[in-house]
Amino acid sequence: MAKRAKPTRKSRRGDSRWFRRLLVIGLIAVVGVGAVYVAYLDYTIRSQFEGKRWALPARVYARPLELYAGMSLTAEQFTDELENLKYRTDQSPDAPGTYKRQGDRFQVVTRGFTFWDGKENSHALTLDLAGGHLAALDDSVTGAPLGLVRMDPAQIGGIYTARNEDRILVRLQEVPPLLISTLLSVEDRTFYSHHGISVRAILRAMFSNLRAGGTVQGGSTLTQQLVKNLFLSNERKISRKVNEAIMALLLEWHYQKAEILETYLNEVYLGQDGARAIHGFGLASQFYFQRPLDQLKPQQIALLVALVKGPSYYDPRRNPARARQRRDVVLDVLAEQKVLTPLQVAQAKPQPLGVVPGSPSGITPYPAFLDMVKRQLRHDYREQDLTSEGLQIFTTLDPLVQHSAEHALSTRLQALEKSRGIRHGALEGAVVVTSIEGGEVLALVGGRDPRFTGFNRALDAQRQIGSLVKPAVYLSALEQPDRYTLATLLDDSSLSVKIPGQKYWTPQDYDHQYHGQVLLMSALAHSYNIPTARLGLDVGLANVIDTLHKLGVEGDIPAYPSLLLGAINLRPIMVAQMYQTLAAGGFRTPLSAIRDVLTADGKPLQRYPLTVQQTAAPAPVYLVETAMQQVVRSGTAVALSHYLPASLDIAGKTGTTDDMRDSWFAGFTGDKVAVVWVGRDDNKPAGFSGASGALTVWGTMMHDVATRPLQLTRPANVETAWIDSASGQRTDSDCEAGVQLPFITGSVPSAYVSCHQGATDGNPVDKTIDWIKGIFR
Amino acid sequence: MKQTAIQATGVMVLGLALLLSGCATTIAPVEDQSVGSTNARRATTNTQTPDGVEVFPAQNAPLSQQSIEPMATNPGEFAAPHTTAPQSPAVVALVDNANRQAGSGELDGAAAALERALRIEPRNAGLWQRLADIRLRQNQPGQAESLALKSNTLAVGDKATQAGNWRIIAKARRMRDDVDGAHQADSRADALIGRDAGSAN
Repeated sequence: MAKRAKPTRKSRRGDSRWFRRLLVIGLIAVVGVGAVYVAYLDYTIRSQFEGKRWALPARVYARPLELYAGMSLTAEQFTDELENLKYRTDQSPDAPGTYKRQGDRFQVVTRGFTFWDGKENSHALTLDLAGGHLAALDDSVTGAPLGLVRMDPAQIGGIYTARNEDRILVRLQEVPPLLISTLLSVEDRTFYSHHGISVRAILRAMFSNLRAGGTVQGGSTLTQQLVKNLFLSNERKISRKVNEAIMALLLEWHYQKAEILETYLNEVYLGQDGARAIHGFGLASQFYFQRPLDQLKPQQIALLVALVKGPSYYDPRRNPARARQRRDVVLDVLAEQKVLTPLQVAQAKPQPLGVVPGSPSGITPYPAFLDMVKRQLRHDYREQDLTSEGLQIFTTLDPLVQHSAEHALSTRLQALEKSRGIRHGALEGAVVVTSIEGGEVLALVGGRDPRFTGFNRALDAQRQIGSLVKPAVYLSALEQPDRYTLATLLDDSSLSVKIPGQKYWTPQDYDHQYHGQVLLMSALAHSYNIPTARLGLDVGLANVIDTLHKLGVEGDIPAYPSLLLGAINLRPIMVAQMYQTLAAGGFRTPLSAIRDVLTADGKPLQRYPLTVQQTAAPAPVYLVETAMQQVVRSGTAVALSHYLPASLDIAGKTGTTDDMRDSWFAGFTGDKVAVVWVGRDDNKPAGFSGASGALTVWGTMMHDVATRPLQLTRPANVETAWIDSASGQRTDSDCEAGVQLPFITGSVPSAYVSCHQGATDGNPVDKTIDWIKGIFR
Repeated sequence: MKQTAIQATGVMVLGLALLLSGCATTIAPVEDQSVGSTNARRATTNTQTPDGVEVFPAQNAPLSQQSIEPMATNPGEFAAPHTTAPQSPAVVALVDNANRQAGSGELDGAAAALERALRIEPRNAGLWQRLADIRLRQNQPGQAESLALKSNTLAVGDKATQAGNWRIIAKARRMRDDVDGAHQADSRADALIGRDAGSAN
């Protein structure tokens, strides 16, 4: 015990010593922890500030409109294009991005733009439109005719990080001095003299807040605001304030004022476009005024700086009065601080906000197309590069075609629902439009609400294609000219096929009728099921499957006889590929949504060049194309004449599946392939055949689209002969039942029949024949 | 990312173009007096920019229609120029651009200009042939042959263009060591222009 008492006594003196020691240790610990913490903050700001400060999303552009005399263009289409590009009307257009329309005459000053193959300068143009064409294209200044002018392309979206931040980087030396002096006058007058925090500004803010009884002024320096935006959350806690102050001091310790200011200019949050956050003055200038920073007028600069205080509260599109009031306050500050003269301010104040109308909400107005672009890019680029390197992606989208497709689909689906008393919104659809020779996807609609980002039916809906498969069956047959020609007679009478392991397969037509002996051409034109099944079985399923693959259909195709009538699920984009190969005379070009990719600073990075591969011989393809024109002239797609002139000579094919679950139309003009699908997402019967559903969308759309007639080039090894429609034998050109058909050389039927022997018993073939005669004569 | 690869192929292509230039006599541009005169005129009337010509006066078209058919061996071979003659001055201008770029070895640029022209006139056999020729010079014999075949399907009745296409196909096949195939293609070209087989090279 004594031993224990001693230390106890000692401990009293020892206590104070210990206490002092503890105090010192505690202090050292606190300082140490504090130092570690500051070091941690220091590391955080340095690594983030010096590392990648900004993710620059890839920018995605539509195709540029090429203007040349003689091109197809209506005043409405051109106005649509100018509106897409956010050109402003101006009584005397002189600045890039302005135009004036007087009837069919346009005066336009284009914006310059750097493309893959070089820079296109700004041009002052006069356009005269007449009869759906660009009649004259002249230089507005000299009056000289111009051969070819490329407009700037509309930006149709970006590829963003998960945070959906968007910005256009600006360098400090590119920023107009007026913007910087305005910003500093309003947000941080002592920016160049403080060390990160400004005690004077805090006191002043506290004073005015006390006087006003609420927060009217922030005491934060630009540096603090930047720290807050870059590293901290938005919560109002004292701890955050402390962190902010420490980090602001550290930032100023490490970096020059110029670096901090430049970062601020690019980081500040200035608006919201749907899910897309607008960061930095460079993008804000484009977002609000559709022009670069260095072209802004004083009142526009004042508005951008006004927005720093609250981009949502002062949103010039939603709250224009509030925005204007705040802008004018900023202008007053500029007068007070002698940044602008009183006269300049007096001139600026009466000016309107000058904000361009908002783009459609969301990241992109064309989510389905952008989806395809992203999928294609992911083959070649890492996600990280797409969202951070600021790549410029030049796509094939033709906004004019896209708008026509969107409009046709939504209006026709509504009308179809109304006509049958179907619940609104029950029908869905998809549209793909491509160029024939280039395989460029011009338009892609993934559903009836084209702005909705969701299930992309054009790329992902796997639906039975029904009779759309038939051209492949007939092509397989016509590739054997010694066995089949367009004049071969096919048997349309009841057919039953025993399928191993299953019951009998008994194909039927929708009208359950038999047509006896029909010409091969008529069987395709009228989409008769039984002759097609017979033909396909005769040619062999393996051959038909091979043909489908050659036309561009990917994946396994099960060899069931029902394949011959379209029991195969394909995505609309795949159907478009199949019909592209047919339309291009047997030359397959992989469908592409991208032309080229540039780096952020405009250097060429990658091209997606035009490639072709001959996968089917031109002559049999020509015969199939001729028969597909007959589908439109006199077959299942005659209704197309309600929408489009016969002179376009369109080739097409309707498709309908069991119980009318799917309604398809695929066809091509002289320069475009288009595929339309209509049906229900739950795969219940929609109630429309290819002709009564999808065809009406196709026709409505193509009516609005600039296109050219289909003029097939007859291959050298194809000749024509007069054929008796009843017997399929050769006959004379003056015969009533005679029809002129194309044949691969050497396959013209040798048997001859005179007119007077030709039977005419009024079967449907004859109606076709009359049509054909009209065309071929 | 892709640049090094592009540069590398660029160097290869340039080297190949030099190698090929020795045997490129049969596809040299057509000698035509009007070409020289229009070129001279172009120098004074075009609105040229330092960073590339993009605007062309329509009337002083910088290129005669004939010079779009560079594959034929002599002017007398133009049997049916309708399949190759450009319909619009815009295409003439782009072909001129492509020719100039191809001349200075910028084959990607030339191809891009031809693709632009093809968007305007997709069924112009001459444009497809020019593109086939560029692909040949870029050491892409597969695409060269496909594009020449495509040109042929559009050049029905135009023997000169067809002959030019078969020459390109012959070269493409030679590039792939298909000597027999090349010989057959040359024979078809010879037959089209009424020469004895084998005399072309």
